Amino acid sequence: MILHTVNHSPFSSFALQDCLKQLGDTDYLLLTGDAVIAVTVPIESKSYLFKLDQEKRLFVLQADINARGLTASYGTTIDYSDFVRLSIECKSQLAW
Amino acid sequence: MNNHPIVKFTILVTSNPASKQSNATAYQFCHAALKAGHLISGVFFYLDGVLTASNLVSPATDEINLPSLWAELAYQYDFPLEVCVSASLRRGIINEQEAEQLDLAHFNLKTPFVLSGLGQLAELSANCDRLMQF
Repeated sequence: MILHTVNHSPFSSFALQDCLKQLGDTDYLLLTGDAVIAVTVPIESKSYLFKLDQEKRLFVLQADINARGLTASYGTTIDYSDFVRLSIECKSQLAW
Repeated sequence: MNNHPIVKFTILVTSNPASKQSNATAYQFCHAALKAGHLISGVFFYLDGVLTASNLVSPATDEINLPSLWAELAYQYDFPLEVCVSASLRRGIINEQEAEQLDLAHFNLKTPFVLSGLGQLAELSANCDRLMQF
């Protein structure tokens, strides 16, 4: 069980797409920084992200959504203490 | 205070504090982990992350000063701030000893940051429960 963290915008990097290709069946995905944009606008990988959200495996850092004046359409929004909890719950982390 | 076990984190910071947000994300993660009662066994700065160790970083007064924030957190919770020596020398981050050896007029490594090698990162990651990269 891996916590994948992505911090690049889906419009400026392939990090999110690459990560989704490698995501295991029980892995979690956390979007931070500019990557939070992925759950605020329609993007190519939306259906996959939406499925992840339904399986409660998609997380978004609320502070980074707020900092950009955006609203998350889906995904579980979390704060930094939840981020710490997720990193403990998962056996390791992979930063993209 | 907490009903969960105490976890030891090692943090790897590879981003420029002036141009990337993830350096600040790493700081806030550490802050939250320490507040929850966990331990930071050390923070390792690598690649452009070493720029965090400069004593000369002086942002405008209404902006955050990440080098100072890291230094304060490290003093308060007593964990080491390790900086990769080769990445540092390449980017002009120099301690007193290196400046002397290289015959340079100045040094700029901020205390309590220390220059160390990747071996130290290996040791930190071997002796922690979770390695987090930012």
